Amino acid sequence: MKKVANRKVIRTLSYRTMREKKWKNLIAILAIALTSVLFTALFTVGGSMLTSFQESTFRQIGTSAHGGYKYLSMQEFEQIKAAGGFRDISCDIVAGFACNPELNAIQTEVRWAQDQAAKWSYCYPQEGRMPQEINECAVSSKVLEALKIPLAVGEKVPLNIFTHDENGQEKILEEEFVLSGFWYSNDASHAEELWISRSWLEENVPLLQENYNELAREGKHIYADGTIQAAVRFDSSFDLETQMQALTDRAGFSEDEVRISVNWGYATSSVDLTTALLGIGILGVIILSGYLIIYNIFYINVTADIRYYGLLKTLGTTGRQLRRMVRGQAFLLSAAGIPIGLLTGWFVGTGMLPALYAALETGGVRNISVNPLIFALSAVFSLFVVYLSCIRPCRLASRVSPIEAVRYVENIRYKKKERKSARLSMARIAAANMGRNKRKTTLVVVSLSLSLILLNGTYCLVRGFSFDRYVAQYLLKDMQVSHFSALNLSARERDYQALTPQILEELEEIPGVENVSTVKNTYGTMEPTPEMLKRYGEFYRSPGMQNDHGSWVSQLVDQAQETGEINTTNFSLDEELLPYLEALEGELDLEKFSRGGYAILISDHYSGWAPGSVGERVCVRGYRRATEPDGDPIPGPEKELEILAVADFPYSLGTRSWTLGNATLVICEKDFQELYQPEGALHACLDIREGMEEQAARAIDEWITDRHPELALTSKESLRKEFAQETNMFSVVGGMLAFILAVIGVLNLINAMITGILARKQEFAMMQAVGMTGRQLETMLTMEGLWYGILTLAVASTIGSVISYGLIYMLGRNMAFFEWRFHILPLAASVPVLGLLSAAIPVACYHAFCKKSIIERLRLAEV
Amino acid sequence: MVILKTKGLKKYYGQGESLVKALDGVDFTVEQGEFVSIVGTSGSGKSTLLHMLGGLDNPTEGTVFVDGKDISTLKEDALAIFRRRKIGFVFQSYNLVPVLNVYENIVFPVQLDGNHVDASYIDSIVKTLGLESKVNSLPSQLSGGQQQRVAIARALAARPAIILADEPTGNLDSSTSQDVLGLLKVTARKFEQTIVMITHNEEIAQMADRIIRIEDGRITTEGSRI
Repeated sequence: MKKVANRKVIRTLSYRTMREKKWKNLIAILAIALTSVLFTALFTVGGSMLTSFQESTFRQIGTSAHGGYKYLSMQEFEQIKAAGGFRDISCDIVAGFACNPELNAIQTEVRWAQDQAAKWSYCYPQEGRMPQEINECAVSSKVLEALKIPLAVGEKVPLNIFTHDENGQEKILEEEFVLSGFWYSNDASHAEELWISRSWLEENVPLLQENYNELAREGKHIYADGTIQAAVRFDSSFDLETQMQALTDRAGFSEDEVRISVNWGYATSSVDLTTALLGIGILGVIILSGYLIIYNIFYINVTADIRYYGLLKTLGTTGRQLRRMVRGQAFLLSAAGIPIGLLTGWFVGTGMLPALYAALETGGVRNISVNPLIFALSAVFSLFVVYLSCIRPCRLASRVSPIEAVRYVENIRYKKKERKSARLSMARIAAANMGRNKRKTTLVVVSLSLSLILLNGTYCLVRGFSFDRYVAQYLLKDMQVSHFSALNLSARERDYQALTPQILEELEEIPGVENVSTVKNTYGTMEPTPEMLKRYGEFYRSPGMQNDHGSWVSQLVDQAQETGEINTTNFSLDEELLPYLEALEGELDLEKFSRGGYAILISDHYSGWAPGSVGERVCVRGYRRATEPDGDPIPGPEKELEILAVADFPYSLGTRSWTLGNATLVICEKDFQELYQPEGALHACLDIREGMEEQAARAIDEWITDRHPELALTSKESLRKEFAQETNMFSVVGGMLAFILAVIGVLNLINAMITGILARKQEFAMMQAVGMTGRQLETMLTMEGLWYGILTLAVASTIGSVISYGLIYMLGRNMAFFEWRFHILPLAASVPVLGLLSAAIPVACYHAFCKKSIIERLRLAEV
Repeated sequence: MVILKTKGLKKYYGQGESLVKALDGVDFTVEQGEFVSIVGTSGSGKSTLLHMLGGLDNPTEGTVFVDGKDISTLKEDALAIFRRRKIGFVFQSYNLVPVLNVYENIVFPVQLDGNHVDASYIDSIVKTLGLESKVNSLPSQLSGGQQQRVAIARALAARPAIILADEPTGNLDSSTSQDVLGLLKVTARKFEQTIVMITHNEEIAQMADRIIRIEDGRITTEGSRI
């Protein structure tokens, strides 16, 4: 085919055509802007949350560097620095620990650091600066508060610094520093830093001169003081392990010469599946609603101009050119709409963040992201939606037949060629008008319904959260005291035996505490019967398990079959707590149980599966805690136990975590003690004297803050806060989405009304010419609006209820504290709003667009 | 009896340089039962005159009396009510309401007025215009000629004082034009209606009892009454 240089004329035509339609353009731009507002807001929120989650992880780890080396000498550090191949390297040098008595509970590391290293470890002064003079120091607010020093640069900071001299002897230096700067500590961090100047360091701490590992092997230098910690950032955070290894090789170190650390924060994903699915769900809703509104507008615009396109085709414009024309207009409008949307969306997103951060755990990190990627992605998604929305309107314009277009009447395809006459009423004409363009009516009704469905769904979901059920899940008795790691999966160090007899005694003495019952927990192994081992293998080798957990489960089974042992998680419950076990098989004869020699096998919480059944006998082996910090556990005595029953274990008494492949046993106290000799209990469940709940809670809180900061109290009050946080997030997100969709729905309604009125200008003029009064016309339009409202309500309350039931069921199914209840209140409440809007919008549109006299409007018909 | 009378009717558009005198002092009268055609070239002011007569627009100066009532000072809604009671319009482009069937279109002005439909009268109009088999059809199912016959029926339905026809055959071929116009004339006579028709088609104009010629907003010749 011959190529013709006709793009220019099409572009001119496209542009001129568009310029003629100011109002329609404004609506289209608004719709595109709104869609891109939604995308930008989502990505701003998502991006900010992601960086906050990640930063929270980094703060827990203590650095955002990609990796590092510990215990280097200066020469070694220089060697690594010279090796290159990274983006940046920075270091700090350990001086010692601050050992003021006030800092007993706070691990305070005294170091000198380069600025970059301080920044990477989130310990760069927010007020003042890094220390420069020999007597200067910079430290976190938490340390200053513990030392009862005001947060002000220039304050005196008396410090006892524990370090080592050149002979490796411990020494304590008592110094008074001047505060050169400080920063606000974050809840997420586990250790606090205190920076001193390089000159102080050099004067007081001998630097490491030889290889640390070598010295350590000889037992000569087993402290960190005087060693250099290097932190490295590469160009990318991909496969840091290999990158670090390569750097080590380049620097010429062997594996046992240096200690490499890789920041695991980069390896773990910071988004869990539910959040990711929620994000994708919202993205889907935005794409759909954006499509609905933009498509609707373009479709109606093209329909309204169909005669014009027909004329162009008569004059020789090809379908392809018409398509290009329509798409060109769409992209020109996008050029105006998207930038507005990006800017507005960012502000909307940052406006939403405080509410979301309040509802989510980010360890106090509350970033607001301005990553260019947010805007790039939003723009791309918006353009994508515009492109999608254009496809059908483009086809409509390109396929127009020049002859038919002239007589084109808004897509009327009456199934019936005839209709019985009926008495004229404005409501009936309005209803008939609704049927003229079924697609348009459907689109408006769908987009309005979406908002109502979401609103109602959110309401049902939020109202369905039952606090009583929530409490029942987390609390069996009045209150519960546990080590924080027993409640928090992300805790780094776990202590499941933290509640020692001494702590329990202290707890019992707190006024109001009537009774304390405990749950104990340990890990161990058991020797199952051969049949049990077989069933164990079958279960974990099942395709479902393989799918969920990969080859890991095969290894588990291999190991179990090789050693003839299965790992166990063991619990012992005080007598008062035993009745909370729920027997699934066998009978819970507690008297028999407490005599010893029995185990209650706990079934898998999700599948209900248990490796054994009543009557089978297993040989359980106890392990005791290693005496050295990093040593292996010591094997203890063995005992043969008979399975008394298979039961379900209450969630609140467990460890919140679950070890794949472990069998869970409840063993009577006597046997448990014999086998495992636990140092303490996992949970202490408290009965509180009636009427003293508040007082006791306050006393326990105080006791925890003063003496046992590692413990946590679960009470109805503390749960109420958590409950509010968890449920608030749903109200905020759901309410926000419903609001946004409502705006889209209303815009769609306005758009449908405006285009409907514009397209029927002449028809209205004719009706007025034969004697319809302006008021009658308004009544008719109001009726049309009301029909949209009625249809929307009908859809939202019927199909909508089914959809929202399905969605909520899916969301709520995984929440033990969710109870489905049907609510119609939001729908009922939206009736007057919807009624008012749907009645007022048409009249407003009519007044805005039908100012011209009847003759002028009639004349349009003759053109 | 005089059913329509204009006095010093003027309609100016624009100002200064761009002042257009669409009508510049038009005086004429129409008797009841008369069939008058107004002829003029494009831009002569004939459409403007028809709009004034039908109360679709207010004159700049002068008065229009229909059935003895001065309509030149009425407000918009009052004019609409006046139109549905006193004027029957027949437009060039039929202008039927697409969502109403033939019968509903015919009785539309009557029902807009909230009046009871005189069924036997409507039936006889429908019969005279040969639309009996089409009463339940929707406009989109009809030919141009049929649509224009429905428009004529609608114009007659409210028993108006005058029927104003604006190029009623403009969109029809010549034989259909003759048919439609013949029907218009016959029906008007049968139901004792007055017709004022504007056209630029001499042949069509000749079917009227009287021809008024208009040029540059003024009446040039007025044909004799039969």
